[in-house]
Amino acid sequence: MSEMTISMNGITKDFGRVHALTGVDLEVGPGEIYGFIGPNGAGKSTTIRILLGILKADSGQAQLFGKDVWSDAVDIHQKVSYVPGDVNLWPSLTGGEVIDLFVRLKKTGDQRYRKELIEKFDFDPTRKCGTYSKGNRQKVALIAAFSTDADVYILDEPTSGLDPLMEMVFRECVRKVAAEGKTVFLSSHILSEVEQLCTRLSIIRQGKIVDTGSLREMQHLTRNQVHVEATGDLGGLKTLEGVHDLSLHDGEAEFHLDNDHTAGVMAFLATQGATRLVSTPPTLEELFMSHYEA
Amino acid sequence: MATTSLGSFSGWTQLLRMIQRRDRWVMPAWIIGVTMFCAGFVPAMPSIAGSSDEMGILGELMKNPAMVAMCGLIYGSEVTLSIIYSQMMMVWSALVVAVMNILIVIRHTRTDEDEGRLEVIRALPTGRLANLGAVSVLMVYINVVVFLACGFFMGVFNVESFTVRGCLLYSAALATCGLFFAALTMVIVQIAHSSREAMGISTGLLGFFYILRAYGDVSSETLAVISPLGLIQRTYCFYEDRLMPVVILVSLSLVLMGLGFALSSLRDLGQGLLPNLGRARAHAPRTLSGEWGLTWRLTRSTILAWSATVFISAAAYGSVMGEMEDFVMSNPLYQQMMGIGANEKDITGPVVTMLVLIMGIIGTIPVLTTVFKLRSEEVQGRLDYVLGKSVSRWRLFIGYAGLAVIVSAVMLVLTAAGFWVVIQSVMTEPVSTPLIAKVAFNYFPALFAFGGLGLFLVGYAKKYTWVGWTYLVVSFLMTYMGSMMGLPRWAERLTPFGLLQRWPSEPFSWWPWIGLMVAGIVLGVLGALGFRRRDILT
Repeated sequence: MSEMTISMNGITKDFGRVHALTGVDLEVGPGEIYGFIGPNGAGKSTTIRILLGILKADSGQAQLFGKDVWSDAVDIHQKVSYVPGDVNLWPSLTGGEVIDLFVRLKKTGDQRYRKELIEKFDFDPTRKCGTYSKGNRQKVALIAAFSTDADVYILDEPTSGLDPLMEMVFRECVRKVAAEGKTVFLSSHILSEVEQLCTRLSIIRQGKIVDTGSLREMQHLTRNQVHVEATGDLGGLKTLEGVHDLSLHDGEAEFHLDNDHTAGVMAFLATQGATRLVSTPPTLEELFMSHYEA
Repeated sequence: MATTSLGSFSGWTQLLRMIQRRDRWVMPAWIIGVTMFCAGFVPAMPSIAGSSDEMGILGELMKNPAMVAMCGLIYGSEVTLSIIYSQMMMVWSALVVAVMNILIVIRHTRTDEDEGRLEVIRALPTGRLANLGAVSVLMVYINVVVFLACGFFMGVFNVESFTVRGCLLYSAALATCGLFFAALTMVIVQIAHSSREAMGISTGLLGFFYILRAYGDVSSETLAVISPLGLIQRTYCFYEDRLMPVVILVSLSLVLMGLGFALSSLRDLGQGLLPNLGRARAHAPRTLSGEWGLTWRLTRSTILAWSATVFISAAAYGSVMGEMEDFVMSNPLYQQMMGIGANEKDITGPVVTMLVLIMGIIGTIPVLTTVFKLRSEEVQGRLDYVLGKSVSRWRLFIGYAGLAVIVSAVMLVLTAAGFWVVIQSVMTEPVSTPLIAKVAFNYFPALFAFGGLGLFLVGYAKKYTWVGWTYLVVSFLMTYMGSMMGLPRWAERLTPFGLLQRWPSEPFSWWPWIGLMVAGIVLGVLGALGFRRRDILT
C-alpha cells in the first residue's frame, strides 16, 4: 500500500441527501499518468477535492505518499501541483503576480521553468486576471503548476479552455514530468487526451468507479469491430458463438467479435478463403459510451 | 460605423421583463430603503428642533463651514424645519440615490457582459441595443417610483413648513440626480474594461462631484453648480422652489443616454473604449507572498478607504464640537439620547462618547468586511488554490482574524486622532487628550467582539454571515435611537456597544469590557475550530 503515490479506499461523500461518492477505490503508483474520466457531475472534482484535503470524506481512507490527505494536507501539498478546472482568479492581480503567489504559497521557492513555460504557452503575464479569457486563466494555473518541482500533479480538466496548439504544449509538459518519474492524475472528459497520455485509467459514473485498468485491458474485455472479405460463403458466421451485430453483403461481412471467441471465428474464416481482414479495437470513446448506455 | 435603427432595440420589452423578474426582491428593497432614507426622518424633525430657539441654534450649527462642506448650502431668509431638513439631508440622500442607480446599471450592463450572460442574449434574435434600451427604461421607471414614493412620504406626515410643492420638488431633484448618475454610468460601462473598473470610475466620479460641491459651497458658486449634487440644492426647496436644476439634469441625462447608445454600437462586446491602464506587473512584489500577504493585498484598499472615511468624519465631527455642545444643551431630546441629566453642566464627555460610539459602529463595517472576505474568497472558489498549496487552514484563518483585530484598533485610534487634531485648533477649551483616548479605549471590545462573531459565522455557520450585518444595524438603532424610542437601558445592553458603560457619564466598569473581550476570543476560537473541520464549498 504505502509505495502507492495515491491511494483511496472506500471513499464515501454525501452532500445532504445527494450521494456524491460511494465507495471509491483508487491506486496510482509513481511514474504513472492516470486518467480519470466521467461526465459532468459524476464526482471527478469531488474526488480531487478530497485528495487535496479541501473536502473531508465521510468514510474511507485517502492517502498521498502514505500520509492522510486531510490531517497532513499542508505537508503533502509541498510536493503536489494542482490545476483546477474552473480557474477563478483575483481580478485585481496580474497573471504574473498570481503565478509568483502560487509558487510562493507552495513554499518550495523554486521556479526554474517559469520563463520557459510563459514563452511556450505564449502567455502575457502583465495583464490583470479580470481581463483574461478562460484559456488564459488556465494557463496561469498550468504555468504555476509545471514551473515548480512536485511529485504529484493533480489536474482537474486542465485543458477545457485551451486551443489545440496549447493542448500540445500541455501534453509535452505532462510527458516530461512523467519521464522524470512523477505521478500525474488527470481528470478529463477529452477522451483523446486520456487515450494518448494515460497508462491506466478509471471511469467514474454517479459516484462509483465502474471500470479500472489500462486501455488495453479494457479493450480486451470487450468486442473488436471486424471487417472481412472472402471468396467463400460467410453466411455460416450467423451460427458462430461470439459474433454480434452481423451484417452481410456479397462477399463482405461486418460484425462485433467477443475477444475470447477469436480462435473459433478465425478457423471458420480460413475455410472460406478470407482475402482481407481488418480488426479494430474499440476506441476509448466507444468503451466510455458502453458504460453509459448499459 | 454600425447602423442604428429601431431594429437595434428589438426584444427590449422581454429583456425588461426578465430584469424585473431577476430583481423582483432586490428592486423593491432598494426603493423602500432609499425612500426611508430620503423621507423617513421628516416626522422626527419636530422633535429634533421643534422650538424656534432650537431651530436657531441648529441653523447656526449648519452655518459652520465644516457642516456646509459636509452637508451643503445654507439658504433662505429665515430658518424653517423644512429648510434645515433640506440642508442636512438632501446631499446625502442624493448620494444614496446615486449609488443605487450606479449599482443597478452596472449590474444589468457590464456585469452581465463580463459573466457572459449578455452574449447569450445577443445570440438570440434581440437587437444590439436592446439590453441598454431595457436598462434605460428601467432606470427612468425606478427613479419615477422613487420620486413618487419619496414625495408622498415627505408630504404625508403633514409636518409644519413641508409644503406639497417643496416636497415634490425635493424628491424630483433627488430622482433626477439619480437618473443623471444612471445615464452617466451607462456611458462609463462603455468606456471601462470590466464591471470592476466601471464601478471604480463611477463611484470615483460621484466622490469627485461630492468634493467639488463641498469645496464649491464653501468658496465658489460656479464649482458647486457644476456638480449635480450642488446643482440640485439650487432648487432652493421650501424657499424659492426653482425647477430649473431639475430640467437641466433631465436634459443632461437624455444626452448622456444617447451618448451611451452611440458608444455601445461602436464597440465590441467585452471590450472597453479606454486604453488599457494599470501597472503591467509581470512579477509579484515582495509583499505578495504567503497567505498573509495575499490577505492584506485583497483587503488593503477597502481598509484604507474606511480608514480615511473614519478619520475625516471624526475630524468633521470634531470641527463642530463647540456648536454641537450648545445644541445639545438646548435640546432635551438629545440630552435624553445621550443619557445626560437635566441639570448637568459638563456635557463634553457625553458628546465625545456619542461621537466615538457612532464612529465605532462605522468602524465595525471594515472589521466585518475583513473577516467575511475569507468567506467570499471561498464562495468565489479561490480558497481551493490557496489551500491546494502548502497552506494550513489555521494560519489562513489566523491571518484574517489578526487583521480584523488590527483594523478594530486602527479605526478607534483614527477616530480619536481625527477628533484630537481638529479639536486642538477649534475649541477654546480643548477636550483633554486622555478623555478622548479613554473613550476610544472603552469601545474597543465592541469592535473586537463583532470581529469574533464574524469569525464564528465564517467557521461555523458559513451561510449566515448576514446575521453579523443585521446585528450591527440593530446595535446602531438600539444605541442611537434606543433612548429616544423609550427603550430601557438594559435593552441596549443586548448589543456590544450598549453593553459597555457610557463612560464618563456612567462609571467605567471592567466587567463588560473584559466580558466582551472574552466573548470575542471564544467566538473566534470556535470559528477557527469549525473552519479547520469543515468542507470548503463554493
